[in-house]
Amino acid sequence: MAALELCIVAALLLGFGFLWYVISLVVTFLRATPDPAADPAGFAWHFLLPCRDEQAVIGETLGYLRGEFPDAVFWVVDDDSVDGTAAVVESLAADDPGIRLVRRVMPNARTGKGDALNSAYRELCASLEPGVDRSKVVVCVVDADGRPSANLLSVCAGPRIFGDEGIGAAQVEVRMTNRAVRRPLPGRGVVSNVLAALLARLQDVEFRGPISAMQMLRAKTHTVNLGGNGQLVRLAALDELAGERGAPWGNALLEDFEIGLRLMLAGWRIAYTVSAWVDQEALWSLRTLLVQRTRWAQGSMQCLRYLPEIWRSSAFSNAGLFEVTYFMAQPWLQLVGTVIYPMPMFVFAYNAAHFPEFTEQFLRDGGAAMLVLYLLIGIGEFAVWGVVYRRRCEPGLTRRQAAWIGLGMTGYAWLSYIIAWRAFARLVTRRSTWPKTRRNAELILVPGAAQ
Amino acid sequence: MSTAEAAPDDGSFRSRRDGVRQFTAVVTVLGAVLAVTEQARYRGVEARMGAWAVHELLGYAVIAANAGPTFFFGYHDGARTAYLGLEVSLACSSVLLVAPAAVATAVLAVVSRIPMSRLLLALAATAALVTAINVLRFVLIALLVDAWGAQAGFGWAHSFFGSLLTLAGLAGASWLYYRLARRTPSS
Repeated sequence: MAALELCIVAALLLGFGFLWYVISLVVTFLRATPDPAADPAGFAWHFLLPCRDEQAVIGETLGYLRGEFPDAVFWVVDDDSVDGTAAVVESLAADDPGIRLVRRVMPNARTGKGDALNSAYRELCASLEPGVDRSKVVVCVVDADGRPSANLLSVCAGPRIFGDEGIGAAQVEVRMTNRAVRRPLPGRGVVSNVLAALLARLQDVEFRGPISAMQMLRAKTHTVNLGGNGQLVRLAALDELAGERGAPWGNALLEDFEIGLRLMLAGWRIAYTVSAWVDQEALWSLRTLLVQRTRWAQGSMQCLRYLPEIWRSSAFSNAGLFEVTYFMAQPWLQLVGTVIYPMPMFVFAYNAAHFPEFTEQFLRDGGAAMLVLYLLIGIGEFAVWGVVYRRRCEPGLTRRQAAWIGLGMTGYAWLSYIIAWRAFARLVTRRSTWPKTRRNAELILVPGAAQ
Repeated sequence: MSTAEAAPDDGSFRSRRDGVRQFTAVVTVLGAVLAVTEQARYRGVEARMGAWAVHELLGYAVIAANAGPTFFFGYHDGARTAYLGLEVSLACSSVLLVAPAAVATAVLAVVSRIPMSRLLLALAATAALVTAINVLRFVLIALLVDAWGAQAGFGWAHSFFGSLLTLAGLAGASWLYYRLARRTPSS
């Protein structure tokens, strides 16, 4: 009996903590103001594009980037692709000095995205004139299919971002370019298409809703995370992390989160903005999404080793310590949650089956109202993002669509429990190698070939 | 004073201060463990506080056992006065809310730079508020039992309204803890 009572209280505390967090997120999100822009000409901008087998998209991406950011330099790192990625880039680079190819070949290739970025960093450093002001050089990491907004550089040159000399890095909002595609899987049935379109929309809601709000809250505690796409870092800050090996990026599964932590430990602040963004492709396959998110969760679990250093560091405020600790504890709390949240429900179901009269009386005397209250809170804390998303991000959606998206977010959030257990299983069995996440086009060409 | 001279003094002060914080953290955790292992006594105290509050706030007749976690209160059952016993179970006790707050305080004492006095003040105020809200829950039960009868009154007060009150209490306690502990040292 004591175990059940402990579970009930633990569930209450965890659930309450999460509810408090969601309310803080929504309030912060709704109060956000746009970031002012400035002339980007005061900085030199270098884009890094790590690529492995990206022949299908890299040419078009470079065409877009070149058109939008004509004064920037683009470093494409070919990580020993087996397709024609290098050839595509080489042919473009032949006519355009702003495009540079960094080739990595086996056995010194395919050792992780961090290593690929480090190769580009070293080439970029070698290309710079001696005496160049490295605090005025900004490196921007973009995926091979990434589409940064046209105002990226002007917003990031603004006074709240790189115009502030204490800012070492910035992360821009991530949007899903295929969020409104109605029939993502031509040739497949209606159900498959509806589910795939909903999954893409929910990823867009996730990145532009709760993840954006978390980043805005982190901006207050100076603990903004960096992501793998739309990450901008001042070269002077990278230099501080590079060491003798010339390798600022680490090789954790979440190398982006890791470099953010290391920048903060070095005393740099990180900014977040929704005034500029990068579009990327949402995944249409649930199985591929689970693989991707398990990798992220495992990476987050791996970064736990930084916690003692963070706690000792004077670079973090008390609120920052709390935020980072809570974030790193999330996958572990989800493991605990899968045990303690269902326990009272199992006991209720057991009582309903074995003591129906008692259960009926309980429901009549306030029990049903209490269950409805908890159900409303449980659904509402996720469904609220449907409403917030429509209000701040996609005003073209109808109220009914926003409601359905909100309900979808509830189911989508439950995936995190499966993901936490998968990541935990991989961690204890010491499996840390991951295949590259497949693009949607590959899944359409090879049905059922998801990892 | 030169930097070279100041450094050992700073280090020794910091080490002494860290030692005090760690010692206080250990004592706080031990206090939390003691509260849980001695939860029967804790619940007994809560029951007596509940009896006192029901009598003082509602004017109902109460009978509280000297050490047990149960108290009885009189309520109107038609024309007669009946008595209902309330046992403060472990799940209904505030001990399982106060103990995590104490552990969280101990963790903050070790990892944060919040002044120890602020942390202890925040813990004391939070524990007092959580306990008071729980006692208020007993008062609510007595009030609704008197108004709606034993079964419906207890049921609604214990489940639905009790949950609302607990959530409001937790919100208030978290806010209070945050407000009291959030100021960082000027150094």
